[in-house]
Amino acid sequence: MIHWTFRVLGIFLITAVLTSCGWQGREKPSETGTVSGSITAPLEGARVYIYRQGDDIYSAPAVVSEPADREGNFTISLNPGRYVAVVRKRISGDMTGPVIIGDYRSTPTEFEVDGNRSVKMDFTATVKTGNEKAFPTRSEPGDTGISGTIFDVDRMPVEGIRVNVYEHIQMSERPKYVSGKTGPDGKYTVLVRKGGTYYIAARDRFGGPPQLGDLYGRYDEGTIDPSGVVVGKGEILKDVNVMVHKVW
Amino acid sequence: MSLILFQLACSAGETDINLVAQNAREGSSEDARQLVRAFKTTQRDRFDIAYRTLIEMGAKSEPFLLEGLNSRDPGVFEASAAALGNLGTAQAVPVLISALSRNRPRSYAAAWALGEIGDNEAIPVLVDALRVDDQALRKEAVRALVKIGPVAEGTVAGLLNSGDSATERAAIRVIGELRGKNSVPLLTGIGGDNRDAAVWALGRIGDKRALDTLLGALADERWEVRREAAEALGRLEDIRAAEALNIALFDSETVVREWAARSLETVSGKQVLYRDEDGREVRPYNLYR
Repeated sequence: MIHWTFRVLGIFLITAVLTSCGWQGREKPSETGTVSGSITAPLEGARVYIYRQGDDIYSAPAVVSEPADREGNFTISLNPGRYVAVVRKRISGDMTGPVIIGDYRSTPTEFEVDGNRSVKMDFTATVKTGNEKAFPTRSEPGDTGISGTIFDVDRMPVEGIRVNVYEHIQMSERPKYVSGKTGPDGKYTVLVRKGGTYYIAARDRFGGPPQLGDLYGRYDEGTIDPSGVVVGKGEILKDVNVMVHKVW
Repeated sequence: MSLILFQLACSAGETDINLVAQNAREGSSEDARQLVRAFKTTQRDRFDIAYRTLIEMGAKSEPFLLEGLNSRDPGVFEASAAALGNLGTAQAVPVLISALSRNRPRSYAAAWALGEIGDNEAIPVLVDALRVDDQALRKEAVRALVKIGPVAEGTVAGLLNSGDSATERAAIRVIGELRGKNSVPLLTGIGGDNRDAAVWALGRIGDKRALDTLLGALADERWEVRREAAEALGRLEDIRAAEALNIALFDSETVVREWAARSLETVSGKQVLYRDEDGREVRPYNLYR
């Protein structure tokens, strides 16, 4: 089996300088370190996904870098703490979603931000050649999850939509779980770690609030708050159908 | 060769829409009409340019968008209605009401626009829309009536006990969001499949006249009703609910126990544990963080 490889040569300089990064909602403390480095060609456009140590690296990350520039440079600001970093570059250009054949991904690497110490890290990432499944989208015995169909206003199934699953009713945090994109039949299944009450949104783009022209819909009955769906442990809740239309 | 020609045609089209947008901004009526016609397109970039330009033009685009409401093309009608809603064009209200009463395709956009414009004249047709078996329309009619505000409560309340379950459910949602205190006696009498929605609405309204109904609902045979009751009793913030919520901590359904604990914390001001699905005694997480 041939693996295309590249090296991410990252000299992570941790300073007390604030700089911008992709998702930084929870990363704006008074004491912030900067993680910077470079990603060697052909990784222009690759992103560094940062997870807090102990977090599921297939769930929403704590921070995602902006795409590496032509020289592979990137900068991320982080609170002091222990983290896991993964480099991913999806050929589709998407920021999230399953890592499929042809996409690049590195091995998860732990590191620590603890003040002014500089950290040097090396990544080796390979082109994925195996099966296309990375996000859990199929049900198996004992799984817990939510499934349904995404429709448009004409009651036709919609392709290319991801379902975002939230634990909080405001749905303003990063989604806890994200499905793969729907196919032509509009169907989705997203597995969750445990039973509970979840809030569902479906959209064709990822990150930030829905923008004018985006396809977006919530699971609700027209109310201000979304309707929660209650999933039991070991249950795949069916027919959680969501209608999407353009954001006006 | 045909592929090349097709690509050239596409790229020419992309160039044109920017030119059309520029001309429309500079006052060309024909180009403004062309932007409205561009709502037919399935190309997102072209659509976005057309829609954004017409919104940016403000009142100058209104005559052309009003023409768009008469288009037979559902996409043109839909986007024209939405743009007029965004612009708050009061002049569009009669046409939107007419479109809604005819239940033309994608009339959900008319309901949405009427909610944005917020004209009380639209209340009857929006209430009628709650009766229509169209999920998109019903949902936007609920939102529109909530946006129009408490003045809609009386007309919407006429749909409670209407006999049609889905219509009644939509009406309950509106009244709950409007905090419709006048409807509390009607809501406490609702049975059947919409008991959970009625209990939800009573919780939103937060009127203590509903206390006995909510305490009774905490023992309902359907867990969905018990869950809503457990949440609603927390919203009432009445210490008289504490005993029943304590009992609900031992409900057979995890989510009922969880909500009973959450509400008991609100009512009593003390930390409360409940048994989660793995049998651990835990505190409910802060849903509203």
